[in-house]
Formats: sequence, structure tokens, C-alpha cells
Amino acid sequence: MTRPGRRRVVIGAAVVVATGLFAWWAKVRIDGLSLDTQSTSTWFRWEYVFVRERTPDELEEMFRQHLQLTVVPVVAGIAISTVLTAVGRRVRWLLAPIYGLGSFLYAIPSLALFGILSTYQSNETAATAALTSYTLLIITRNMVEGLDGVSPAALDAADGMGMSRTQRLLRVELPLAAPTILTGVRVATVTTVGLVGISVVIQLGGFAVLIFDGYERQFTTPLVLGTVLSIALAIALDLALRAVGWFATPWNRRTAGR
Amino acid sequence: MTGQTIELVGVTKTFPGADRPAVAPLDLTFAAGEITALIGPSGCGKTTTLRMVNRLIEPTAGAITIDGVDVRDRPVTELRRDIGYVIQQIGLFPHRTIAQNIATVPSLKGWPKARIAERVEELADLVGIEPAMLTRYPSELSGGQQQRVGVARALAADPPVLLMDEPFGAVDPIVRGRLQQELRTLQDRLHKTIVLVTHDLDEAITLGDKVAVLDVGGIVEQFATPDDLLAAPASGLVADFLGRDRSIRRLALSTVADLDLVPPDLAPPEGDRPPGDAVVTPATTLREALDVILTASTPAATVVDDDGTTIGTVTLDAIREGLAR
Repeated sequence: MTRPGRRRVVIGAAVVVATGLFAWWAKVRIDGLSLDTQSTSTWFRWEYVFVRERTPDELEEMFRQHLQLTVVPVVAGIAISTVLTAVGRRVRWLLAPIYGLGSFLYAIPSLALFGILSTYQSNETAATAALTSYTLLIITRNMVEGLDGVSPAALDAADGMGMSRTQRLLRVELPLAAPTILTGVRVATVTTVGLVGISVVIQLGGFAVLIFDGYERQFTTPLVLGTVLSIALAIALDLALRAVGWFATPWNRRTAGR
Repeated sequence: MTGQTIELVGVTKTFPGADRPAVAPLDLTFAAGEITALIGPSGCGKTTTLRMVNRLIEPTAGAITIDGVDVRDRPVTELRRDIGYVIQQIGLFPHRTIAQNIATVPSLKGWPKARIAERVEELADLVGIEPAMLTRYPSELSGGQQQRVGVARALAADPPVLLMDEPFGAVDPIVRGRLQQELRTLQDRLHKTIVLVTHDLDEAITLGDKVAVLDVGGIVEQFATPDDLLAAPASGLVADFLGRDRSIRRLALSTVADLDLVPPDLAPPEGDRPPGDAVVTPATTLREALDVILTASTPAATVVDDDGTTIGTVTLDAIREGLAR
């Protein structure tokens, strides 16, 4: 099967699954409110999720926090990586140290990084800074590779036809590098969704608060719930970014007819 | 806009770190409205010379003028927008449709949308691109179609000057022949000043009004019309480069109409009459006429005009005399 065809199937299936899950969730919630909840299994107690009146608000708050601790570091990572890429592509020998720094930051155990940073900064700032540092390597590398991968013939044509440096960057280089850059952003985003959980050690953590709570009390329901929600968030963001890529690069979908 | 003269005076290029110049002091004039082919072995600086005209490479010394204006006196982007540029790798922008690709320079020049749309259609028609293809992406086109688009893109803003760097090097021989023919036809209408870099001798002599043979280091060995070049190579190097079949190649430059035909009433006696299949027309090249005679194993071929009337015969002697002129 061709690539665009497979992608369409994946997106279609995801939409169907998401709709189904939502319908199920809504139905269960309504059932839960009807107080007929004592029959649920001990492995996963739906009443934990819905009957206690506060819980949906708590979930919303966790979702907000998890999303924020993902999006802010990724956006900051994109901004910093853009600067690093611009510098590294002008001064090629700086690329090795830039990648080196990225790998070094990546190698620091996240637990330690959260701990150290939170002694100097507020917990939120510490978590954001730590999570940002983890996105730099992958985003910078994909930006550099994407831009380096633009065909020399297209660049020669762009120059020869009288584009300025800025016009060439905006009209030729960035659009052609976009798929590679977007892949980097996607990987960084999904990784960050997972890493947010570790910030539970500094009283943050989004959905991981549930996981930690379940672990401490040996109570599987919140543990499972936190895990599922965290994974769902990662998948949702990944699909959203894929959709952005799909709409932003129409020329990539149209080579099948060859 | 029809062609403008390009003049190179004492143009030299020494690349950083090189101990000898890639292009020696070079004086060349590319006449207005003509195709000049630059040909020579690799390392002869033909591409470097071409790229100095639109300042993709800056000369170390010397001056290049187009229509009397030094290329360095104009902002580089503005200069390049007035020079068509076609390269072997075509270099279409894969993320833009064919129409957008063709519209590159007009849109850089800030033409109004309606005028661009009109111009794109005009060019598609000119180079033989179907309107349906305009909304496609380059990867959906064949190599030959892509190079047609490349030519249309170079012509989009109607530049007086066209630089072509091995424009048909990446397509198969059959398509190449057709594209060369089309370029020649196009040029007969447009009269641009075209500088064509090629390593293909046949391409140089079929397309070029003038051919400049360069030797390594950008030294002009000979600058002449294709016919003069093949008839009288200026040096051993040129003769070697042209190959041992240069007379045969030269035959391709003249047609039967250029010869003094033996009239029908003076035709050879019955026994020597060429058989029916050895027939040529006035438009046949001498090379093809020779082939017809050799294939039919006869001393001469009958020349027949468009109406089918016999207007004479062409003999091996006549072809040989044609070369001697």
C-alpha cells in the first residue's frame, strides 16, 4: 500500500477509535451517576473516576498541567533550537559542540535534574527548564538535517532566479525541511508527555499524580487511569502534529500517481 | 524581450586555495539574439564562466557587461531576475505546483496575480505543457516534461538573456533530441541571447550559432560557427575534441538544397539511374542523403520536392563538393 493511503487509514482508524472511546466514556459516566457503581471490578473502579464529585475537576486540572508542561517546553525547545540551528549552520564546527551539549543534557537523569533545578527555582520553572533541555537535541538535529537535506539543485535555481537569502529560506528551504523538522517536534512532544510524569517528585506531574497515588496506596484504579490518560494525551498530540504536517505539505501526498 | 549582447573582458577566476586560475583572462562576446555554445573537457571552466554572468560566482578580475551595463552595477537579485537560468538538474521546487514554479520570477518581481496567471498559461502553451499539468507537482511529471517546465520558468519574465547549463543532460537521448529541436524553434521566434554549456558536441553544433571550444583553465581554443569549426579546427586539441568523424558531423549542418543539383535532363544515363528507393528532399541533411545513398548502394539519390516532382539528383561527388565549399 502506498504511504499516503496507509496514513489515511491510520488517521481514519484513530478518529473511529477516539469517537468510540468518547461514547463509551460518556455512557459509563452517566451510568456511574445513576449510583449503580458497586458492581464494577476491584481492578478498575469506575466510581473512583466519576462518582466523587471533585474528581472530574481534578482530572481537568491534571490535564491542564500535563498539557502545559508538555507544550511550553516543546515551544521553548523549538525557539532555542532555531537559534542553535541558525548558529550551527553558519559556523559548521559549532555543530559538534551543540550536539554534544544536547546529548549531555539528555544524559542527565531527569530525577536529578528536577531535584537540582527546583532548589533554585519554583517547581514549575524548574520542571519547564528541565523538560525543555531534553527537547533540544532531537529538534536541533532534525532542523539541521532537514535544512541540509534540501536539494542543491533547488537552492541553485532559487539563487539563480534572484531570490534573496530570506526569500530562499522562507520560500524554499523551510517548506522543504518542514517534514523532517515536524518529525523532530513530534518525537520531542511524545517524549515530553512521558517525562512530565517524573516531575511528580516536585509536586507536579499532571496525570502522573494519579500513578504515584495508586502506587503508594497499592490501588490499581488511579494507576491505570493515570497511565491510560498520559498515553492518550501523547497519541492525541502526535496525531494533531501529523495532521498539521499532512495539511502543510500537500506535495508529499501527491507522488503516488507516478 | 529580444537578446542583448554579453561581453566578457579579461574575466579571470581563481578559486581560493587553487594555484592556477579556473578561468584564464577570458575575452568573449556572446552576440545578441544568438545561441553560443560553450564546450570543452571537464575542468575547462565552462560552467564557471556561465555562472559568472549572473554572479553566482564572482570573477577575480575583469568585467562582464550585458547590453553595456556592468553586471556588478546592479543589485544581484535584480540582475538575476532579468536572466533566465536553466540547469541540468532542473531544480524545480518540489513543494510548488508547476504553475507556481513557472511563476517564480514574475512573483519575485511583484507582478499582479492576473498578469502572472496569464503569463503562466502563455508559457505552458509555448513549451508544450498541457494546462492540466499546471496544478500538479514536479514529481508527478516525467523528466522531459520537467525540463520543459524548467525552460518555461526561465522564460517567465521574458528576460533578454538565458543561461543554460547542460539543460538536456539529464533526459534520455530521444527526449533530448526533441527538446533540442523545440529550443531551436523557440529561439527562432524569441531571439534571446543564449549561453549554453554542454559537453555534447552534437548539441553544440546543432543548437549553437557560435561554438566556443575551451581548454582546461578557461582558454579559448576556437570561437567560430559550427561549420567553420568542423571545416577548419584551429588546433590539434580542437581537432581531437571534434573527433575523427567531424566531416560526417559537418554534413548534418547542410541540406540537399544547399547543393548544385544535377538537373533531371542532365541526369546520368538509364543504367546509372538511382533506383526508386534512393529518394531525398531538398530539406534532407547531407548526412542523411549520404546515408540514403550508402544504404541503397547506388551512386546517386533522386531529389524530389514536396509535390513529388523530380528536381534533380544528388551524387557522392556533389556531397563531397558541398563539404569543400
